Amino acid sequence: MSKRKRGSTEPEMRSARKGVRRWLYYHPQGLGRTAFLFHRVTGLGLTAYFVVHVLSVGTILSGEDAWEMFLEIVETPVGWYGELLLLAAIGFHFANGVRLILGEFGLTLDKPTRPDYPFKTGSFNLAQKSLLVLAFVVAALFVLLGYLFIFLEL
Amino acid sequence: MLHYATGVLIVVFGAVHLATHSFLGVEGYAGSLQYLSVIGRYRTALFAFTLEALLVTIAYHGLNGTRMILLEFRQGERWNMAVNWLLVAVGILVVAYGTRTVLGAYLWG
Amino acid sequence: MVEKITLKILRSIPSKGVKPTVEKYSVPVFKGMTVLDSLLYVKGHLDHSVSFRYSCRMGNCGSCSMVVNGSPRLTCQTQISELGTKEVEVRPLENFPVIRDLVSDYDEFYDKHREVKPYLIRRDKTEEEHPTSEYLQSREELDKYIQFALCIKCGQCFHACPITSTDIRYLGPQALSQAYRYLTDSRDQDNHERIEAVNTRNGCWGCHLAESCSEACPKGVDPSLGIQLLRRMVLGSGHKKRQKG
Repeated sequence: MSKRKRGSTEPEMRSARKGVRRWLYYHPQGLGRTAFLFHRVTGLGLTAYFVVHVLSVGTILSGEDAWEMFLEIVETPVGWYGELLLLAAIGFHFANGVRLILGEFGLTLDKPTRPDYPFKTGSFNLAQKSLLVLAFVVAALFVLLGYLFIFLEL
Repeated sequence: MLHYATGVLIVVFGAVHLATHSFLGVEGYAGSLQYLSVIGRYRTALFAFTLEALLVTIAYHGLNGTRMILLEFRQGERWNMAVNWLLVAVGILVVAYGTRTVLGAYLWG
Repeated sequence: MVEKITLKILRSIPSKGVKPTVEKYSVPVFKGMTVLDSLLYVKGHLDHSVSFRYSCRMGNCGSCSMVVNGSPRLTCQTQISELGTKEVEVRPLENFPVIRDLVSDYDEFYDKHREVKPYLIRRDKTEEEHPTSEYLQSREELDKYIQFALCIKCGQCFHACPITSTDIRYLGPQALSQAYRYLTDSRDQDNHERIEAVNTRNGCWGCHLAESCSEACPKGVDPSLGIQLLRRMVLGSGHKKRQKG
């Protein structure tokens, strides 16, 4: 047996990786990849919001004055539009999350077949694609409802 | 697995939270945020329970998601331990602070 | 008049410290010319130092995987006319260390493939080494895994995967779909070793269903489908998730 070097070293592997930049650009940018990026970004954003929300809502314990001061900061046009953005993120993360749960347990996916050209992607079939489109629709719907509720006081 | 379970739970609790927030003895959006109506809501058991449940499930789901992403960035025992403990600490702090709010408003609000 | 295209090649020699630079070559095009043909033209007529890997020229060996105009392609299966551009840019695959020019280092990729034990495992170890007869299999049994058995280890899913691009321990779409391919094979009797190998955070639980691998695959293998089905199988097997690095 010749003494061939086997396996890349860790720095070699690391140097070949472009890291997070590869989340952002990839060609061809499939819909699944976009959903992946959106899901991560909304997830991180919602977690950050959650922490801030928990900390700020705690002012209610300090009595009515503190609460009113908190409301003055939040209840501004910027705050309302922020709330719409929040609803969009929640709507997308929720509906896409349902799609991912179904898909990641192998539900809604096609059965393996003998592939023939042009290849169909059984893991990103019509069911999964429509669920993904639905996720965007749900996000839009959440924003619409939020708009009606917040701005028109329905 | 818990990540999926909490994901589903959040949907349930989140829906109840929104519903109680919007319809529990308030009029309109502006009314829903007034001090007395907020405190009043905190004192209903359903609202307080949902809030506490949401607090724990979102804290787990959100921080576990963050952990997954962070663990993908770098590999190594030390990094794993640092990320895990940091996020556990953040989780405990957030849940403790939130529980203080919920319990405080529910019991003495 | 002969039509010409500009072939842009990203060249580098990391071991000698030669930084990546794009070099341009003017290549005459003939009908049916593939990107690999144009690379061979450059090597034959313009610059013999251009390095790239290829073998079968018929899309069966998977060694000529490169990034053509931004998308991962088997260069021997990609005609220049189908790209529809006057400039064709060729780069080595990402997520692989570059050895020289368009030749990338597949060691890590194959090591991860080896990690999922990509061979038939029999309960009877002496029989595994000295089989006494053929293992018979019905057509239906073959159909269960044939899609994943078409993998040619070209590395394009590895290039495409967003998890692989940050996580160097993640096994990757190729290895995981191959694990599923052997686990569903009716001739394979292992139900422990291989599941143990993939039942980790870096194994089948590292996938987040971005579908990039399946989109990249030139053979219709659909690695993503394999990984999701693998998860269900691992979950059904009742193995506890292994906590490892």
